[in-house]
Amino acid sequence: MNNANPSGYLALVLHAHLPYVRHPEHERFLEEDWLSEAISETYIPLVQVFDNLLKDGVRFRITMTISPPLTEMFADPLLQNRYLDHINRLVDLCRKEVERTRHMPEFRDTAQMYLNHFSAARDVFANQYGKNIAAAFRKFQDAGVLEIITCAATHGFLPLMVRKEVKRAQAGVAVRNYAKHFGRKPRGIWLPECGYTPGDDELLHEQGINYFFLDTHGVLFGAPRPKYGVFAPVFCKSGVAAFARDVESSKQVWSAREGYPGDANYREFYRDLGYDGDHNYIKPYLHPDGVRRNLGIKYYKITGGVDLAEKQPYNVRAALEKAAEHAGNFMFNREQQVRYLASIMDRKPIIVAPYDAELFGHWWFEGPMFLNYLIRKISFDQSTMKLATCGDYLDEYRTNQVQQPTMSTWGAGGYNLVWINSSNQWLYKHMNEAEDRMVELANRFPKADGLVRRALNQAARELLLAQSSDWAFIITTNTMVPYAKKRFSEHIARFTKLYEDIPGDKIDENWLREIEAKDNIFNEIDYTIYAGGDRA
Amino acid sequence: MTSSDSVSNFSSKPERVEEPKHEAPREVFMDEGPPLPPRYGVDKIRLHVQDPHTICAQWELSGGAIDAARSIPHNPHPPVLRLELTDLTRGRSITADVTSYTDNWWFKTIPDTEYKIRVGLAMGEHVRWIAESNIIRTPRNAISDVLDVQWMMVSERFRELLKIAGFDEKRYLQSTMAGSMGLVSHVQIREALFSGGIFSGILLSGQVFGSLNLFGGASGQNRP
Repeated sequence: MNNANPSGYLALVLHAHLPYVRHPEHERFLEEDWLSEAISETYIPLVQVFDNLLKDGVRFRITMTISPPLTEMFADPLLQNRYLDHINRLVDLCRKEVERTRHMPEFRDTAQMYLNHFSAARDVFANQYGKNIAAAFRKFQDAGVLEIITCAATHGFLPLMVRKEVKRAQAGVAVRNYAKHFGRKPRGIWLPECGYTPGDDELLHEQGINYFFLDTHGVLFGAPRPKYGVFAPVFCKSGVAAFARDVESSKQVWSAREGYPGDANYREFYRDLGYDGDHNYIKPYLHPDGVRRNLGIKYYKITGGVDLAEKQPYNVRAALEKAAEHAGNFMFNREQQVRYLASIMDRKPIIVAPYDAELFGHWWFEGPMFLNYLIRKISFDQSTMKLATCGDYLDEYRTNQVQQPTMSTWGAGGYNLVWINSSNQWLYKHMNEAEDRMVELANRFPKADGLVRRALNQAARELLLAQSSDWAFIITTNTMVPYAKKRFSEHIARFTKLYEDIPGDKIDENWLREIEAKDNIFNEIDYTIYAGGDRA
Repeated sequence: MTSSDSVSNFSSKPERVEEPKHEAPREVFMDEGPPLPPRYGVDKIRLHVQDPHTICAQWELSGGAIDAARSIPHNPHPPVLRLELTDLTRGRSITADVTSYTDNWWFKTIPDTEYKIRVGLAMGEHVRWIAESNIIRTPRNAISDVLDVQWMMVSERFRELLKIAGFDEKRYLQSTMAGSMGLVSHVQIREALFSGGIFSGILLSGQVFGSLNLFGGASGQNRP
């Protein structure tokens, strides 16, 4: 099928991010499982999908954010080796599971599927990409199928930062880190949580960024009224383009009631061998505390509105058939949308469909295969629309309406409620004060070298790590609150000690070396990015 | 005496005590990291936007000014901490006197409006202002009335575009985005990642944010 002259474009945007979690001081650390699970269940399956599409000669264009903390974790030797240990344990357990379910017809195919799945993941990780998943995604960008964009340095939530210098640092550190890993500058950025305040675009412009994303109302409520709704970008006065999320395509995937991932045939996330298995049998695969947790081996399907105990066995073939059906349905709906929009617009519309990458695979197990089917179907089964990145669209349409988007986020409520409320507002007293102090240090020591420079760079790292939006989010959702509080407090405490020690020439080099080894993100950082004197 | 002790003491008749079926949860040490600095020794106040209708002021006063005011002998007007929120868009202010034991205050606001706040000590008619905040602007929560002269579009066509986008203006304006539409938000995916395997049945219930009821107080009242 020929997509040479489509009526419109679909921009699939996958946002991949995890907070920087790395604990060399412990042999195994619970929160490091977040990365291991996401590598096995999301990032490697996406790599496999993209690799197979390339091998089959399918032409496609996808946009993907890989946040700087995630990229740094991908490239970290300690975490790479820990992931290898993790996947080796999992493959070992899968082998036992194949044996255990040999005479259980309702489960043995699924057990074999997991053995194949995790063995292949190990092969992709260790043998094909030298333990660095970022290298895989870079390959796809270099092959012209993926446009990798950046994100704020540590996923800092920009609307609650008071000073321009600290917002600038979040963008500038990210851009520099991107160049280190991907060998070029990013064209676009994913603002953490789509959090935008008027004026932020000027800081992106300074960093050479061409576009960013907003939730629907960021553009719809902007002034003047957007001529094309959310189906074309707007230019901020800075010249940076803002693309807004399409509600309809989001709803089809995200919706709790109508969304695809809730289909009865798909794998149930919460029924896991870590809870179902005999404790003595699974104990070697749990953390040393022996507490039951998810292991990633799940034998049941969603089934419907029934209790966990009443879930029915999972059938991978039926689930994949459903994923193909849903991909067809998604494509059909986007085609209808594009046709109609093209009939009332005097240019080709672009439908922007952003998702958390971790939805695909980690949460919605069949999600990567849904994407696989969707990309193939768009390539071969229709000619109405074409996959494009936002960069592609800007190349084709260089003139766009000028607008001032409004402050917005993609969180509950559409604004900042998730990141500042009665449970987590106390974070900002400390974070904002540390921000003021970092700017003060950078202005006071504009040309530091040696030990002082190292201490100033570490102060910048500690501030950046404290700013991660994940801590405020975790406190709001009440999940792993002690860990979020611990991380935030530790970074603020380390920053505060550095702030007090640097001017008095009291830097403890041994302690500095220790925290440089612990919080080792961004070895290329230059603290002078904080110098300046303007508030947001 | 704990609250459970007091309940059992007032029990009207003895009850058979059963052995617990599960091991009682042991007290677990939760490491929440080192203590945060209680004060930074500064006089500062900052404003943050929560949404078009709510902002939060946070401040620290180093204590010198308060101590000096309190130490005035035979002062007929004991000092009171005063906040003055100014609506810069309309040029009007409101004040709130607050206890010196709090360091944050929430205000109900008007969308698309600029605000700043200052904090000081009021002693009778006299106010000594100590710190002034950053300026913030609450976001607009409705479609703009401003039409671009060069790109103008008739209203019907614009609403058609909204409809195609799946955007229900009335519903949207009444409430929120992800929350009101029952979307399995990105927030829930992260929650699943960070949950450590705690069951929440998100896909089935589709509700996560219902427990966040932060708006119980009247305008200008501090939140718990």
